[in-house]
Amino acid sequence: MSDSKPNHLTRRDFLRQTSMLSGMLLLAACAPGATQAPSSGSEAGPTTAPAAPEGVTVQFWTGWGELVPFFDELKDTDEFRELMGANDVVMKPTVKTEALLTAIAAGTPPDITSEAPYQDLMAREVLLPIDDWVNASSIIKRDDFIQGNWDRGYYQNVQYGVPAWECFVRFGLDYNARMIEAAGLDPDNPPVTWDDALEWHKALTQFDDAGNLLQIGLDPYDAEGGGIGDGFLAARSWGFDWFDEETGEFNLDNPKMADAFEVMGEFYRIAGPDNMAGMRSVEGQDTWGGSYNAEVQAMIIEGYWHPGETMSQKPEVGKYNRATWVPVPEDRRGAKIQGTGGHYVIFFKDAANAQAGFPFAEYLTTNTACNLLFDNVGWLPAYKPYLDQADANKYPGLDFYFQSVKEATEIEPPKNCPITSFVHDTYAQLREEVYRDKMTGAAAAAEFQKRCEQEWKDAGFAA
Amino acid sequence: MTATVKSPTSVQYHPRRQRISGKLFSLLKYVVLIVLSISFVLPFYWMFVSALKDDSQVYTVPPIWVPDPAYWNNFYDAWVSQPFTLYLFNTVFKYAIPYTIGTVLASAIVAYGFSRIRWRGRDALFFLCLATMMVPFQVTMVPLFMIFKQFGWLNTYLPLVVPAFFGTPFFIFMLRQFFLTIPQDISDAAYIDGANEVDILFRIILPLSKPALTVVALFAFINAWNDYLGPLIYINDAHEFVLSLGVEALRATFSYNSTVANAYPYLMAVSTIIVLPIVIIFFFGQKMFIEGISMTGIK
Amino acid sequence: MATAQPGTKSGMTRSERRRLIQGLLFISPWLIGFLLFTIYPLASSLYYSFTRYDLLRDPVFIGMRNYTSLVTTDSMFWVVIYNTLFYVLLAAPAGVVSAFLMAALLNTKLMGRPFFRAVFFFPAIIPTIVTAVVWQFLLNVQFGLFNSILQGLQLPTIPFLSNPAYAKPSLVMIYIWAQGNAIVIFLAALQDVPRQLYEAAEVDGARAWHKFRHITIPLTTPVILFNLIMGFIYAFQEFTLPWLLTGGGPANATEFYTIYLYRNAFQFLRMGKASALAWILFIIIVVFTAVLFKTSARWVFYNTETE
Repeated sequence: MSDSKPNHLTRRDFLRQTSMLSGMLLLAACAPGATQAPSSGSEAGPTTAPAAPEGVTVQFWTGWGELVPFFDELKDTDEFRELMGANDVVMKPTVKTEALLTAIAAGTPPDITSEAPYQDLMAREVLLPIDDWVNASSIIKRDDFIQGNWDRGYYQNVQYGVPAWECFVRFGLDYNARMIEAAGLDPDNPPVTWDDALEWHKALTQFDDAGNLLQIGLDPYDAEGGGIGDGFLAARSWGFDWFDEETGEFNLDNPKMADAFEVMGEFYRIAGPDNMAGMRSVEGQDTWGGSYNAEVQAMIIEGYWHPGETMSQKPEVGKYNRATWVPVPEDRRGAKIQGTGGHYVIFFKDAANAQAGFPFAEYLTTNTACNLLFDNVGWLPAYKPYLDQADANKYPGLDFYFQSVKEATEIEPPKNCPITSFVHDTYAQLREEVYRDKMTGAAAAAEFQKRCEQEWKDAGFAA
Repeated sequence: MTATVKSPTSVQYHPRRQRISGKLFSLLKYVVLIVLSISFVLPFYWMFVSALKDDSQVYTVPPIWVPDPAYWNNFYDAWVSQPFTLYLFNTVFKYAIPYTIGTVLASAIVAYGFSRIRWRGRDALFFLCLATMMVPFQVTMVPLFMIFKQFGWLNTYLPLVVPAFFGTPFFIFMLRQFFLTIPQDISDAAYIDGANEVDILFRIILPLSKPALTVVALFAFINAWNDYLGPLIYINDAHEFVLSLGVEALRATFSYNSTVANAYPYLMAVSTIIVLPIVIIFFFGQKMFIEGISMTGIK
Repeated sequence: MATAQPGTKSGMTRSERRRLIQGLLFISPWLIGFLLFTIYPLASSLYYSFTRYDLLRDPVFIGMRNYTSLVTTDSMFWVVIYNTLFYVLLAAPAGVVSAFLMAALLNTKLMGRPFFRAVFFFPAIIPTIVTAVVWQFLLNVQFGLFNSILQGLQLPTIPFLSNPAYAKPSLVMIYIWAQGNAIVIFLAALQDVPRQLYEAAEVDGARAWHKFRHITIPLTTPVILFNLIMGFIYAFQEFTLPWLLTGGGPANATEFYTIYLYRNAFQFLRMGKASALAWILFIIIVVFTAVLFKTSARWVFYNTETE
């Protein structure tokens, strides 16, 4: 796809990058010892220089499946070859967290990973500190990255992750203008508060004569609405800090959390919890955003990638896409929420070729790699030089996200909580108790707090 | 189903009413059997016809029972959408066949020691052997993983195949039960002729146990063919996948990319192909299956 | 191992000792495998159950804390115990009863018995992954076959797998569907019941029900016990099907013991706690089986003369 539009910009960039790269290569070749992380001194294998005549294969595991169709294309570039030298990167897609953890436990982790529980891993001393590599890199430079993204690559002042890809802003309410109009609503006046969103949801949720669900307005827990690792939407929208990174204290048992449980649960009650669960078990609708692509869901809370991913996966839906601010409660009307976050390349201690994977992270910030990712899946990095020149109107709805960086009243990174996976799962359980009317929002909030505090103790993080 | 309670033996009673009630019963019996059979076969029928559909035929109310047109090419397209031929090769030659050989050989030897030789503590150890069936897989999963990692066996079939060469409790049990039904006189006669235990096992007991051994072999083969969790844990490299992991990979592909056409038909097509060998094995070997199990005579 | 007691050694004759050595040699593959692949992992996981172990950092010994916190503070523990007992106590007996009835039906004078037998047996031997994708496709509330039929008839749909109240019974239904092994084993046992016994009973004027109750059932009780035990053990350890089909949902309705265990180990990084869970499950299964065996003395009829 990229070779169909060889514009001047790309070519000039390419030349600039190339000269930069050769400098970097020289550096890497001359000073392999200097770029070595302190803890990797005991390892024999991993310090293979990128330009070694006999290349090594970097094992790259990821939870993503999206990269499969064009990963070969992503590697088939001059920049990749120059940065990686004789080394190669082999991707294992759609890796489940369990498989990753078992492999780490057995001492056989992959070399590098993306789309994994970053915080949980950083806090558990299985990753290589990369401060030295970053300091020595002429490509990865702190000032080139959005600060929030950069900071989240650290745990207790040690850097473990490069925010190399899929890192731009995380929150927006995307909606399908065609479906909105068909329901007699005005796509130019999107919801601002949760009450507005609920009105749209009611108008858009449709049943057949026998009472079977045909389509829904919004599943507030779909995609970014239900996650924790990328920013906790309920906490952000209602405006409270759910976790204190300094003290390790949770703040979940509060009236705002209780209200969030009830308000967001109402969307499920209207569509019917069983119907929602059924919708989620249909192939193609069971994962992240699938029902939006299938035009079974008219609105979805997702990040900047949504316009591009939808356009690449289903252009006939993507062309109707629009985006606005995520809803807030009535008493926070006017708050414009945005979040940083996203994905990192992380490096494993026990891996043979982790360091040989570092140039891959560097490669991902090159214009060539960024263009390929932006073109194929609509992904953007946290790399400012690329963002500054990226086409904000490339996909319908994308410009909102670019604007939102300037207009947001609150823009924050996600909390760095080492039991994020647990919080995520507990949240999913408790909200279901609420929308199935087995628990009140207040009780769920109290339970949420209790379970997280308990786990914090059980996991050995309490002082 | 409750209507069948009285069925097995209520055939020839009450001589006068026998003919009428017998016929009525017979009719009822066949009705029940046919209804039950339909409900048992329905999932397979649905799997098969869904494999012949395109997306528009899948999501239709009322459902389409006989798709027209039928997309027979789905079978081929689905099969080549992932390297299923490679997975088939892996499943059969790297896993199922070695696993079956190991299971039959080791289980027979161990079962012999548990049945044809009387020795002190035999029954206690046999009970222990049976008791290991109660150990949940999850208890040993991670420590086992560590052991095989120590051996450098990860991403190979060794963790799945090698344990079979140490015998499998359930099959040891089945073969032991069968060996017990072979009269002791046969062994005694052989002892008099100077045969040792190994001779007796391989020259006398095993040839007499062909049906039971065949059943064990078939079950073992099917277990390996169907295994999902074992390969899931030990096999990482996609070139080493087995069929069940291939199906899961296909499913994951659809989940991640909802635009792929014919997700369900492809899944159903591959499922049909994978089930087919089992159908064939079973229909050709049915007599042996059933006879083997009956002769094994678990009592 | 009881065999190796030094005291008893002197009490053995030479041939006893020879047989002991031969016996041990023959079972040695299993014995070695047992030590290596069962005892050692069991011991490791017992050790882990007294530690805080997240798979990634070294285990830290914490005594009984995993066990006490499960019973006292873990809100999910009793939920999964309830779910598992509900499922096991429903599925295992229902599976045995339905398999027995179907075997009994197949054991009557019948045309096409091999065909029916094959049909009933078959679901037991297909890959679980296939069972999962096919049943998901049948039971889905919107697009499943059953609900498409209902929708076509203008009837409300049944949320088999998406309603907490229906999810467990739906899994039991699939469990019963896949009881082919038990059916074949029952059928073999039924065919072993000597014809003469029925004929003798008929001479005495016994009714069909009496023959069934007083001949068929007693003579097959050993097999009933066998299938019941296998059913319980299997149902307690059921993992793959609910994992693939419902993933523990909806609303934790199918969050079974093994699923929660797996989740603790590989999603929450609580290997210590998962090991404690595993050991509790092991003990539950052992106690369950022991109780069944104990009571079996009262209802299982061993016919020693049939040989």
